[in-house]
Amino acid sequence: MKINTLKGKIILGFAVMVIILTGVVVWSVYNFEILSEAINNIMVENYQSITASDSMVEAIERQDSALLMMLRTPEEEQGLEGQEIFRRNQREFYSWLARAEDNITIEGEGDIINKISENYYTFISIFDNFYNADEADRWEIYNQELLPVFMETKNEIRELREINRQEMVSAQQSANSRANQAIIYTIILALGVTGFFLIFAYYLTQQILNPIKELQKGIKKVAERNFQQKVEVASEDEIGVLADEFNKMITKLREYEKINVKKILMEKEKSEAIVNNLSSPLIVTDQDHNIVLINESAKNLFSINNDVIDMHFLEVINSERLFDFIKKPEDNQKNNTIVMEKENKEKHFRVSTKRVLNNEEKYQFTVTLLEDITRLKEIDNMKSEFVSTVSHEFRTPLTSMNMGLNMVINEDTGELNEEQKELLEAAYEDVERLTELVNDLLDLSKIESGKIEMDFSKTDVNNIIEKTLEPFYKQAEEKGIELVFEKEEENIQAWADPSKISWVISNLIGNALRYVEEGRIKVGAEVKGRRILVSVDDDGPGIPKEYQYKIFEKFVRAGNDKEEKSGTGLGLAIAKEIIEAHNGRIWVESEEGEGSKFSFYITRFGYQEEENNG
Amino acid sequence: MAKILVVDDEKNIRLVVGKSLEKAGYEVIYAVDGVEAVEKANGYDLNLILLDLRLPKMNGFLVLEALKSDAATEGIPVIILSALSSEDDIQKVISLGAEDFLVKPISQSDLLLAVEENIKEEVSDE
Repeated sequence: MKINTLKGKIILGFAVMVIILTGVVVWSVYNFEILSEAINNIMVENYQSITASDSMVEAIERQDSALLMMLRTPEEEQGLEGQEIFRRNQREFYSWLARAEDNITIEGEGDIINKISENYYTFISIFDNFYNADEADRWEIYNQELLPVFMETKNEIRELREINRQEMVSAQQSANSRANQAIIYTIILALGVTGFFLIFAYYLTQQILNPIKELQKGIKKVAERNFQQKVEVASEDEIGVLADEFNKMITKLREYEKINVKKILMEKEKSEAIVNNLSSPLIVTDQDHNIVLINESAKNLFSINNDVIDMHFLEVINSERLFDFIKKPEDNQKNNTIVMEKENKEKHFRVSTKRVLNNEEKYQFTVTLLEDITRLKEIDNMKSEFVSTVSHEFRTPLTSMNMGLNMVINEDTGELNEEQKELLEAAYEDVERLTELVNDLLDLSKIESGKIEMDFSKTDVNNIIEKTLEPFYKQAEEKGIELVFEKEEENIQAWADPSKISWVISNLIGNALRYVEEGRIKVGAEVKGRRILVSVDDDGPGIPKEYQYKIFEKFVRAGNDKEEKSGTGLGLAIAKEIIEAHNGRIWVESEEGEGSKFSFYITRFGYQEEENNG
Repeated sequence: MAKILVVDDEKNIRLVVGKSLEKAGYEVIYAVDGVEAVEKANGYDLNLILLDLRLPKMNGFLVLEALKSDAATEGIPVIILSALSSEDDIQKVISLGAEDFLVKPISQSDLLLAVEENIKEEVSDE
């Protein structure tokens, strides 16, 4: 029978122990039993024999005394009493002799008793002779016959007693040796059992512990994500079952991991495929600006043929300009285009850089995407070109219209009646407007195409404002508007193109004068950290909310008062271009009916490097 | 009377500019292309030339260059009257020796002002 369960093993172990223990107990009991029996023998058999011997000696001695009494005392006085004592002790003797005969336990004891019995019979027979003899003969019979038999019998009895005493001693010795033996055996047995128990306990513990240790190792490995293992436990007990289950679990985990890894790999492949097939160049860099990922398109653009992963960006791509985007993505929101030459062709890219944060919200990667906008740029250039061409084409006919009408209106070619004059003046006015529009369009397209370059210099903003305002004072006075320049501080120096900034201020004041009916126009300038803030604040009708965000777009004018107000609708668009070319920003705050406040900021002198580099 | 050569391929421009100048008391002669302009510059005793830049046959820059490199014509002041107005164009004509640059469209008064400022004093008649 094979016992497979741990429970079975333990029970079997304990069963064996119980059996052995029982054996020991039985053995001990048996030994004590033998001991007790031996003691019994000594107590009962030999002791009885000894008692019988002693009693027989006593009886026979009393008979001897009775004989002596009969010898000394005349029969008439004492003879009867002595005989009686003799007879009584004779009976006593026989009764003890019978007992001794019943209790023959030792070898040779029977012979001795037989001799005693024979001698005693002789003794009694001689007594009969003694009793019947006369006084004189009695002495002779006693001395000659009775005394020797008496002595002999007495010696025989003593011998009986001696052998019984010796038997007792030997029985005692035997009991002692048996007891000693029992003690030794018991000790040996106990030691044996203890040893067996120890071995068994060790075996059992090993049986349980070894597989548990194996399992423990296995679990530890699994915790380290090692699923390529198997726990070898040969036993078929509960731990074996546990190990089997554990192995099954690992197999399942391995399969699961395989599926997961497969999934992750697939995802990775997918992402890589997307990235690689992305027509736009894409580069991912880590915190130290080492390249983590670069797609085919980017490799193509930068003519990279080798593996550049983990190399520094600048080692691979010799473009400080592009590196600036990666270093400080947030500072390059405005001017985010970059020009690169590829196969002798100029290519334009819009660069978008994005910081990828890790789980702890800390910056980990920078993703840089270059969007090819060459085509857009071309279209844009074509558009600008078109606008420019169209505007140019407008100029010549406008010249003849302007001059022709002017001459007619001035009546150089003859007198006109009032009606004719009025109509021609209307036409002339619109020619002028058209002229202004064409000029603005040309300005705008020039600025947009970068053909007008900003001529930066250290510029005193207060000075510019004063000069710009000069020609407007008269106009303001005529309209009854108060035009004021509130000089807040002296020596406000900007890094700017003075003529362009003057143009912007002039445009803002011109607009204000156009819209403000009464009240005042306030111009101010102040230093704000590394910037100069200029504002034109008016009490005009204000700009409806819905227009505020788009008045800086081309051809947008607030409200629907086109007929009333002159202007091309390009002024603010140009102003915006100019301010942005200054790395600045222009905006409006306005409340309908409360007036408008146009503000812009430009770079303070001394901070231009900082502004340009971020 | 001071003689002014108006060079422009646009008939209407020739008309209005010519009329304006005539009304102001100048004698006006015309050329419709660059080649004619160079020819006429040599043939007449001119006090001023109003020159367009976009011209058939020979463009205004070449005309200007030819005029200013010819001893016979280099003394005649040239005012460019053109729709081209880029900084480059202006720089170019100034460096070629043009006296002034008027960008179309231009008002009559501005035209006359520029003409008055630049016209060569008549010597022969007085």
